[in-house]
Amino acid sequence: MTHGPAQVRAALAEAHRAEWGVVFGTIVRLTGDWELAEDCAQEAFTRALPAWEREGVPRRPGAWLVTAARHRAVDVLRRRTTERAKLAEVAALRADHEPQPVEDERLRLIFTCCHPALPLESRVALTLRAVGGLTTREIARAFLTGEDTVSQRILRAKRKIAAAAIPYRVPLPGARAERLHGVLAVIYLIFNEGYAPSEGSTTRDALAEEAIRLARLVTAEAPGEPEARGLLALLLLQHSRRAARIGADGELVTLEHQDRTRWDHALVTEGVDLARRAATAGGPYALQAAVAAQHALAPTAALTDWRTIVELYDRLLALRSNPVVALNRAVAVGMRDGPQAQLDAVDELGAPRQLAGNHAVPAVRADALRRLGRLTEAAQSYRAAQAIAPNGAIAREYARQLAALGEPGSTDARPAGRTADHTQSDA
Amino acid sequence: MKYVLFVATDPAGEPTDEAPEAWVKKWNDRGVRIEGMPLKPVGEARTVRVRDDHVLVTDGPFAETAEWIAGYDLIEAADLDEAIEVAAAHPMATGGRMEIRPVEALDLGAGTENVPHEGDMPASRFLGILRTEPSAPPFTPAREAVAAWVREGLATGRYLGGEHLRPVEDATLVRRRGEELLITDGAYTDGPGSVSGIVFIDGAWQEAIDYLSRCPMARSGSVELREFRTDFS
Repeated sequence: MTHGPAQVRAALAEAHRAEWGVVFGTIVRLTGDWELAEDCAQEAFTRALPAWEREGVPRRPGAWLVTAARHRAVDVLRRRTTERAKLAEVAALRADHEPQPVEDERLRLIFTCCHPALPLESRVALTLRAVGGLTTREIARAFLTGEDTVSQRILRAKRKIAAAAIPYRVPLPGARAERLHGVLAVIYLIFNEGYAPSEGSTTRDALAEEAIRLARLVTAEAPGEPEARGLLALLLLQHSRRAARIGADGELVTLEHQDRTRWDHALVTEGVDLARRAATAGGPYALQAAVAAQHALAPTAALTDWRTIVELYDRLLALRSNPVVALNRAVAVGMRDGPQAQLDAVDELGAPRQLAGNHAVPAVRADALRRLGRLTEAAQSYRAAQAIAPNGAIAREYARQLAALGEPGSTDARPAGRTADHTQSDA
Repeated sequence: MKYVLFVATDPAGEPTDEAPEAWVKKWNDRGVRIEGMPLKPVGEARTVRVRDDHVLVTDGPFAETAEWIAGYDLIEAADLDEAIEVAAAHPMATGGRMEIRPVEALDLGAGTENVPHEGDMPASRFLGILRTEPSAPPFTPAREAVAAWVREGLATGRYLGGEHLRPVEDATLVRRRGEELLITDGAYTDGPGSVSGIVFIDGAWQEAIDYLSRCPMARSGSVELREFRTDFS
């Protein structure tokens, strides 16, 4: 069956999203050469377009691409004359008789790219490049860094993998739980950069979607890991609110004021279901997902089950003391027990190092003070929050809060929100 | 693949009473550990530099930090994960830090076999830790000069062996804190210079210093001279 050019292009784009990691990973496994694997994967996708237009989209695009990439690898290795190339060539040829593609290729790739001996920023860049198939330009754009910086990071990571002999495999069961944590942290980091960029635009959905895709991969290929499921649930629930988080004026809308009909209910359903199944194991991602699920299940902000949310935060804090979680718990306590309880809970936190310079601390304090009617102090705290807001959208939100208190500096008369969309920073 | 493990102290480490003997025996028996020795405390270290043909010998280690190299181990591991397993099992991963450095094969030509001695108790009395130093005048040691230095040392019995290390970018740091295994990228000190190799030297202090002052790396960096602990059994 032949396809029109548009269909072929769509099929190829889908194959790129779904199969890049498999194609790339297979060549890495066979030859141990990351440079070669990248060239060959690239070449296979380039050749696919004319071939598929001519012969139709293959039934198993992944297998077609792996075969094309492998042939290319053998060609390149034949032209090289070193002994190592000969050995690699034999390995690549022998694989002709193996069933392929190997199921856990991408999992192996994710674990190698997220190896803890690599610098964190290299892990992120390498994972997006090798597993997600993003170009260095796309990665640079997403992280607002130079293309040169990204290629340097990837190059350095590939060099270290080769020089220090970082193995290409999924760790043995004993070490797996430990390493999985690092993998999930990298995926979460990628998501957060898409969900709440450190600067510039308010969201970058493509990056958030890539993180969700990676989380799906890990969940599907490591089904016995409740924390992987917990992370996926958390990401789906946060991503389900993307349309409602940005108002008509392009500003961030807090959870309390979001139009819940604009949430992506398919993602909410999937996320809540996953969160339920992960919750029994009670790991940190599963518990955060359970908090997000509580918000998702509340028909209105006012009907949120704050009692359960406070309990979930208590369980999170019992796992590991974390000032960001403690701050979010203070907000939940405030919603359950009123503004004085919120103020007490914030002041109880003291000034932990990890919260130094965090705009949410004065903001949560300001919110409690405003609700207590201590408006001058509230304004003071909002000004402090505004001064250290990480991006323009958040700074404008605080300007609005100040305006609602009758402070000058904004023409927006929208009522003040109570809380920031706080679940995203529970890392 | 060969790795050198630098055993380093760390004021932030957790005190541990565990002695390294069990660790040594376990990995020796498995054929993973090739050799290793603890070093005398850093108080007796000397740093040798050659600048404009002047030999500068200063007391103390190359890096003036609270932490310092307490010993080294040379291991043969399948890959970095196995090296991490070996390093993480050492008591000093809890009490200090373990820096893993892959070894680089450096062919200096005939008559310069860099074969370190075998066994627990090397005949050498000193470990020379070669270090790069960005503040040193630009100077790249010629391969021939290094080879000549090695041959001279072998001929006079000063040079017992050595290892050239891959660049510091390939270093991996392993620590155990509480229940957690911390694996991070990088070397144990974040100074601008880095350890680039080790050599084993025989002789008295002055002889060792004389010989090290002719090492080309003393020009482009510095060499830290450290005496082995002899009460190690």
